This record gives sequence, structure tokens and C-alpha cells, in this order.
Amino acid sequence: MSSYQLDLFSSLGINILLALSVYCPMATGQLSIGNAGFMAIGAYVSAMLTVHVHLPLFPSLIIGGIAAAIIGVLFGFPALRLKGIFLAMATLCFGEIVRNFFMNFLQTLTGGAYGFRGIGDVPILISWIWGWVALSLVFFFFLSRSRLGLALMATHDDQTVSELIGINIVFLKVAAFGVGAFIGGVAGGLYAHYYLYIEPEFFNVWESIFIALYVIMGGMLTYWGPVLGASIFTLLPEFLRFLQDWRGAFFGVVIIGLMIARPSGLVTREILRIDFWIPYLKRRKP
Amino acid sequence: MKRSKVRSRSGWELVLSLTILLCLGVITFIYPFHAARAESKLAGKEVRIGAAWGLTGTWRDWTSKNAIAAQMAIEEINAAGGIKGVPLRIIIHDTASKPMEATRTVRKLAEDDKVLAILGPFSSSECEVAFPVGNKIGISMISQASSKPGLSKPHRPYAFRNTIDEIKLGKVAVKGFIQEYNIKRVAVVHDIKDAIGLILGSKVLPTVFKKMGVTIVNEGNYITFQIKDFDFSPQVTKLKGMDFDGIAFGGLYFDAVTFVKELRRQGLSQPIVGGSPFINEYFPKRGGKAAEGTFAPCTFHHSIAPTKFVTEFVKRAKAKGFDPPEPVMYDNNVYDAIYFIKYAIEKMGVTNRPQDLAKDREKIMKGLSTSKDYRGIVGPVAFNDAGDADKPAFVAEIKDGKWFIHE
Repeated sequence: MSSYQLDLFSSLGINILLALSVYCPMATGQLSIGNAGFMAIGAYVSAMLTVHVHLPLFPSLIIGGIAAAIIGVLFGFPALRLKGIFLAMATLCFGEIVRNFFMNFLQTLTGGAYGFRGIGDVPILISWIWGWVALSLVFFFFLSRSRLGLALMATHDDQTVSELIGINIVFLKVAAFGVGAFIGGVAGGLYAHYYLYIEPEFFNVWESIFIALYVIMGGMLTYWGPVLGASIFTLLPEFLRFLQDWRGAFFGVVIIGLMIARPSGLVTREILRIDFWIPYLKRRKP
Repeated sequence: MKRSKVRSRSGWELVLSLTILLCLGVITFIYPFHAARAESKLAGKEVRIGAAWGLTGTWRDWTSKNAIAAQMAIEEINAAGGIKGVPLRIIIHDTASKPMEATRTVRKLAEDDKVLAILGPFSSSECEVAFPVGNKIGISMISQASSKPGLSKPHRPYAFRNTIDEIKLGKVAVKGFIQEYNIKRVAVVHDIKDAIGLILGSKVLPTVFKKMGVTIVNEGNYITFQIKDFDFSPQVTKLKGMDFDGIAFGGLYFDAVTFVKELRRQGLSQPIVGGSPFINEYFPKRGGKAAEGTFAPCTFHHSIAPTKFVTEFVKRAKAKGFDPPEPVMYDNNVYDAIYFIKYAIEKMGVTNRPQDLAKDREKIMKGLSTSKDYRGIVGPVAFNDAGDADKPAFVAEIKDGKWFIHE
């Protein structure tokens, strides 16, 4: 495998983690387009720990993730009062607040607008990134088969009915924000230690929108949706390099086409069930 | 009889020795020419260089114009016989203006496309992550726009920027500004959201002004704004309460246009100075009379470039719908970088053989690092130890609705 392919798969792993971080709140019906903010918190906290405190990488990533999770939970409470486009706007503003915080405060520790250099002492391997991806997928696999997973699904589909049947939706929604922020924070930490340099501009609004698009495109009802969405957004532009200037335009057309064909995302709950495929399989038989 | 035999044998020996000497002489004399002829043409069907530019995203406005300069240089070189008889080809890959894609693009160009050198990336954000990758692989990379102070130095010897860092540029512009307007006291206004505006306004310009003995009237309390703010009246109102001769503005040209219009509307007539992000033809066009007298540093202006270059560039840019079509300094930087790579290939004896790829890349790096006699479009260009260009810097001033080089 060439270092180009390794780089591609490393960024794919990071993007899958970021997509899963948005999937968490989306699974409870909360659209978040500020997750680059959680990514920034994880990136800066873990980088500060490895560079200034000389802590090993693993605990730094965990602490970075926990810091992002705490902020996520704190943000989750006021976010409970918001729905739809207003929640989206609030999360967008949150992402910008975090970016501006690292741009203008703690400059002696983070480098501010100049960027955070010197992360080079702790090299990271692709196995670290994919280890975290595997761990997250195992978590979502067991979650989707648990009572908690059913409660999440119910909250996503109808909040009023969920409350009536006794589901604690306040806990679920806030916890979803927290878990999503943790995964986003870890992804940020991996990003910082893979690219060995970070600056506030990396975590801008476009990054947040792209992360949300991974999930919207892939499908927000199962955890395989974000995985597929992140894979398409990372790999397809690479395969379209031969189109040169038209690459962005063609990619846009593909996205629009897929959204028209699959408005609920590419992977839905139905297509993961065998009974969805039975009519198609029967039709093929003579 | 015996003696004559000896004589004849020694005669033969003499003839034989002379013949051998003659042959050796001929071989010694001819070989270098033969070798030189063999080396005069590079191996392979083409000489490949790469470009890692943000053809989509934030930097598209600039890089799409840079591509015209690159194509122009390549066509000129190939029309004149290529590099040592082999045509030059450029492979351009899009970084989507994202640092993450910039590293991948550099790896792709270096490992899949096996180019000899890379042009770009465009921005400092992309260079920060792509330069270490290029340096590790061992391939020269020349950015045409990154001017963040001290960026290329940690990633030497393969990182180059055909630009001057903002501190050096700032010195030139500030000196001209102080002399022209007899500045004693200056007020600082800067962006807090955009990185280059923040660096310029909070670090570069105040440092340069202080070093030149000018008092900063709002030291420690700089007036701030956010990129693309549409109302600058609060900032200008604050300025009205201060006593100053000029304004140091850290921000991009479009914010400076909105700011300077509000400044004049509220009756303040003090001139402003900024960094290289001011250099855009839209500044005087949109700023109108309010922008007159603004100062900024630059390393190129079409008014001092050869007419042949400007005419050809304008023709091509117009055909692609650019308005204004004149080349700016980043276009010149790309054009010069391509000719500099050609110069290094020819000077350092690059073979272009696939098995010599690593050696050839090292030779190009050494050629770029050590050459001090290369001449670009508007003057000599050389790279210093930090990997930045040593070349003439000018003070630009807005006069009669256009940027001009300040005399």
C-alpha cells in the first residue's frame, strides 16, 4: 500500500468517526451541524496534553474526548428546547464559538491563529484510527440490539409517544449529544496527531456541514449510513480526480442524484432487513 | 646486425606507444563530447511536474488564474524545445482548498504520478500539513501565496515559498507609508476571525510600526471586526475619539473596502496601510475615491512587468472570462517557479530516468536552494535558508482608481 493509499484510508477512518459523532444526536432526531467544534476541543485538548504535559497518546485522546463530551452535555441541555432549523442554527453557532475561542484565547498554549505546531513527538499509525472505528462500530452494534437502542429509535420516530410510554427522552437526548461529542473529540485528537498540526481554521463551518452531510447522505436511521456516507464523501472525489475542474461539479450532481433517488439516505432500516429483499429475490425466479 | 634489430624493435615500440597514446588522446578528447551529447537530451518522453492547488473551494478565484500562468509557461517552454529536448508536462490535482486533501494530493503526485517537483499548495493552512509530507518524501514544493512568517523553515530542505513573509513585506510597506504621510501615531484595526487578518493586525503591523518608532495610540486595545462584517460604523466611531495620523489594517481587501468607505463617510481622512491581502484589483475598483492613497506591499505589478508577458496573459485571461484580466503577483510567482524548476533541471544535470527519480528530486532541491543567478519576470529570484524567496518587494499605492507602484 502506498503512503497515498494509507493517507486516504486514514482520513476515511477519521471521517467515519466524525460521521458517527453526528449520527448519535441525529438518532434522537437532533440535527447537529457544529460537530467540528467538538472535534476542535478534542484536537486541542489532546494535543496540549501530549505536547505540554507529555502524557501518552491514549490517555490524551480519552481526556480530549471526555472534555468534548462534557461540553456536549452542557450544550445538550439548552438544545433540548430547540428543534429543526433552530437547533441546526444553534449548533452551527456553537461550532463557530469554539473556533473563535481557540483563535483568540489560550494563545500561549495553542498558538492562536498561527496554529499549533510541535505535535510531532507522538506519531500515530493507521491502526490507531481504525482501532477506534472498530471500537465505535462494536459499540453501535450492541447499542442497536439493546433496549436503549429501541428507545433511541422510538425517540427519533415520535417523541410524544416515546414520552407517553415512559422513555426518558431528556436523558437520551443529552446522552446522545455527550456520546457524539466524545467520538467527535477522539476523532479530533486522532486528526491532530496524524497531521501533526492544527489551527482553528481547520474546524470551520464547512467542516461541520460536510460531517453532517456524511450522515444525511448515508442515512441517519442506522449506524451503517454514516459509514457509507463518509466513505462516499472521502473516496468518490479521489476517483473523480481525472475530471480536473469539473470534479466538484460532477460530485455535486452525483450527490443531488442520490438524494433524489434515496431521500432518506442510502442506508435505511428497511434495506437492512431480509424481508425488504424477498420480493426482489422472488421476482428473479422464473 | 644485432644493433639494427634492437633499433628496429625500439622503432616499432615507439610507433606502437605513439599509436596507443594517440588512441588514448582521441578517446579522452572525444569522450566528454560524446558524454555531453548523451546527457544533452533527457531520458523519457516527458518531464513531469505537479501542482497541488485548491481548484475548488476558498482559493479557487486565485488558483484558476494561476493555472493560466502555468499553462503559458509550459507552452512557451515546449515551443522552445522543452527541457533539453523533452517536453514539459504539468499534472494539476485539486486540494479542494482543504489541508487534509493537500497532504493526499502531494502523496499522489509524488508516488503515483512520479513528478520531479510540485507547485503549491496555495495557502498557509495547506502548506502547514503538506510541507512535512513533501519534505519526508524528498520532493521540492514551491508555494505561490503562503506568507505566514516562518512557515517553511521547519520543513527544509524541500519546502520553498516563492513569496516573502509578511514581516519582511510589512517593513517595506510601512516604511513607504511613514515617509509619504509623515506618520507619528497610528491606530490598529484588525480581523479576529480570519487567520491572516489576525496575524497581520495583532502581530506583524504593530511590531513593524513600533520598530520604526511610531506610537500605537490603541496599544493593547486594538479595534477588531469579523471577516465580511457589513457595518463598520462602531469601529469608525471608536476611531473618532482617537488622535492618529494613519491606520494599520489587518484584514482582507473586501473588508478594507467596506471599512474605508465608512471611514470617509464619517469624515475621517487618515490613510490606511495593510498587508499583501490588499493586493487585488477589486480594491480600487470597489473602494472608489475612498480607497485613494491606500498602501500595501507587493512583489509584482503588471505595470512593471514585460509587455509581452502581460499582453499574452491578459489575452488568455479575457478568453476565460476573468475581469480584471491583469496578472497579479501569485500568477507571476507560479510562472517564475516553473522557469526556476526548468533552470534547476538544466543546471544540476537531472537525468529524468525512472531509476534516478530520488536523485533527480534531490538535485532539483539543491538547484533551487543554491542558485543565486536566476532571474524572474521582474527581477532576480533566489531562495534563502528559510526557503522563502529573496526578491524585490515594492510598495503599491491606489491612485486614480488603480494600484500603482509607489515611487
